Amino acid sequence: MSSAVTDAPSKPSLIDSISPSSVEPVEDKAERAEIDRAMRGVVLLFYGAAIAWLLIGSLFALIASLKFNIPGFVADTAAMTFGRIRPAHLNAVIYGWAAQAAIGTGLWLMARLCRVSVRHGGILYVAWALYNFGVTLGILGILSGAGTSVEYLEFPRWASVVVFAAFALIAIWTVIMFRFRKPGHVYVTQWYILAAFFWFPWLYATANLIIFYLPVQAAVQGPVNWWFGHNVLGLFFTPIGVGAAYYLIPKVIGRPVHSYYLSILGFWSLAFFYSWNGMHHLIGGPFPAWLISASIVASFMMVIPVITTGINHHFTMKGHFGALRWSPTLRFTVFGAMCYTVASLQGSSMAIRSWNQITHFTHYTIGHAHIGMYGFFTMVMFGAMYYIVPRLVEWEWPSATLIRWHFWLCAVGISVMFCALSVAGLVQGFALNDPTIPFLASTRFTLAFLWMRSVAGLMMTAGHVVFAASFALILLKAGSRRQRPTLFAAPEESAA
Amino acid sequence: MSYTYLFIAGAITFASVFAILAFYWAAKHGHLRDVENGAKVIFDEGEPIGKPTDAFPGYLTGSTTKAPH
Repeated sequence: MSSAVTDAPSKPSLIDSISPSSVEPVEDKAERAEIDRAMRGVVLLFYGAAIAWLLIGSLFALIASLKFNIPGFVADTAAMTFGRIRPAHLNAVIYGWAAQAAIGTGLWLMARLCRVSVRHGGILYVAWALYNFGVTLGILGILSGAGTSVEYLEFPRWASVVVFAAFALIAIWTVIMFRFRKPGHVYVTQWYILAAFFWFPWLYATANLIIFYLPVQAAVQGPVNWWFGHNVLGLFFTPIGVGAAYYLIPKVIGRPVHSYYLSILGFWSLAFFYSWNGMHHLIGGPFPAWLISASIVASFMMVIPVITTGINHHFTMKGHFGALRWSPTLRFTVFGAMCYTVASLQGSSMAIRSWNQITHFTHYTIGHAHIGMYGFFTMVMFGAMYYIVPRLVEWEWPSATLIRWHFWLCAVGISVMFCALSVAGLVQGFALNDPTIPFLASTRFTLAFLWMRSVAGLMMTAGHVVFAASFALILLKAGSRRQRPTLFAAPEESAA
Repeated sequence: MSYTYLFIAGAITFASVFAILAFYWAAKHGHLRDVENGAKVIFDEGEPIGKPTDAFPGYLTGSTTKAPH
């Protein structure tokens, strides 16, 4: 079977692609394998960098976690003090690992779903270099004491501007690809990715602008911070994670999404409700009551897209749960999708004022953050990587054993962490609200649970090391090539 | 102080207009119609409906007979 592109058009110039008067090329559709090959370099770069930051971020996490039980642990080094190592962990895993996994996955999905030859891939290489340069600068800035102390925006200005520039390039590429996509239906995943890559630069630029460059009054900075922080989760990471799941689950089991209509409903309700949620991080704070109440209402309206997505994934999987035994991608993705439902419903409950009174400022919130960003997002990203990397490298994962270890270490790790921190947080919260219990006692209650957190973190880190090893091995094309892996037959062979 | 209100009002207006335009564009170009076939666009002749496309290494081709844990 010869390639569908008979008369390959000459590569369009950047000016052509951006100019509003350019028309879509008529016969530019490309074979799936061709698209995968075109995206190979850039997606592997983003994934490789993401995994490296995951290891670094995990190390920072372990150091930070151990300090709770061993206060003197590396306390003499300024860079390792909690005030620096905790934001270093946060930023390394959010911007280093999670965002790059999101970008790599989003770019690949975008290329696949546009179904035309990839345009201007060079932009993405520049974006990758800029992005990692920016993140490195940022982390070093935090460790050297130049962090801004604004949560999720701790990178010093000179680093965040580089990160923004990189992201702007990615957003531009995405719009160009979408513009010149193969005509026809726009699959729901594409909506999610386009939206995510549009929302993130807007969020990042606005938050940085009005907190650092043209600062609003101090009391307003809190709401801006949490508008940003929450929306990064819900308008960047969630769309990429949910969008990826909407592509991966049907593709792996070979069955279309149960109710495509519901997926459209889910996307639009997410878009309309999500951005109002941010103020639920500030319940009880010195802010207008209507602002907080609006966020609580929006937090409950979020139940609509969450249940919608949950129903959709469940009924798509129904009858096919056996596939969890033989598909690594599905294991991670379904685990992630289930955590998405749990984390979101938990989040909605945490927005209730009386409930928040107990859980705010406790470990419960941290447990929630991790079941969301790790249990949901990170696990879905692992699933995506298990699907995508073989298609880029044209080789199978070398070892099922490594995959199994990776899954169980991470799944058990995050479950232990979530349970430990939730219980610790509740105990802590009730104690803090009880004036007869001294503050120190409320902290002492948590110590055993914090040991459990460190142990869980160690398991998860071990899982990451195992995954990094798998990744290195598949890049090196280790292991014997299995006989005719039907998944990766070149187009000429699939006619057989 | 006053430019903050302007900024916020402007942002909300921009966001709402953009969202409405996007939704309108989707409706106009038929993306909200024919949802059943919309779900099937990710399949093609090479990866049709009914064919799984992922497995533990060696599992689909029979070089391991046991399903991994």
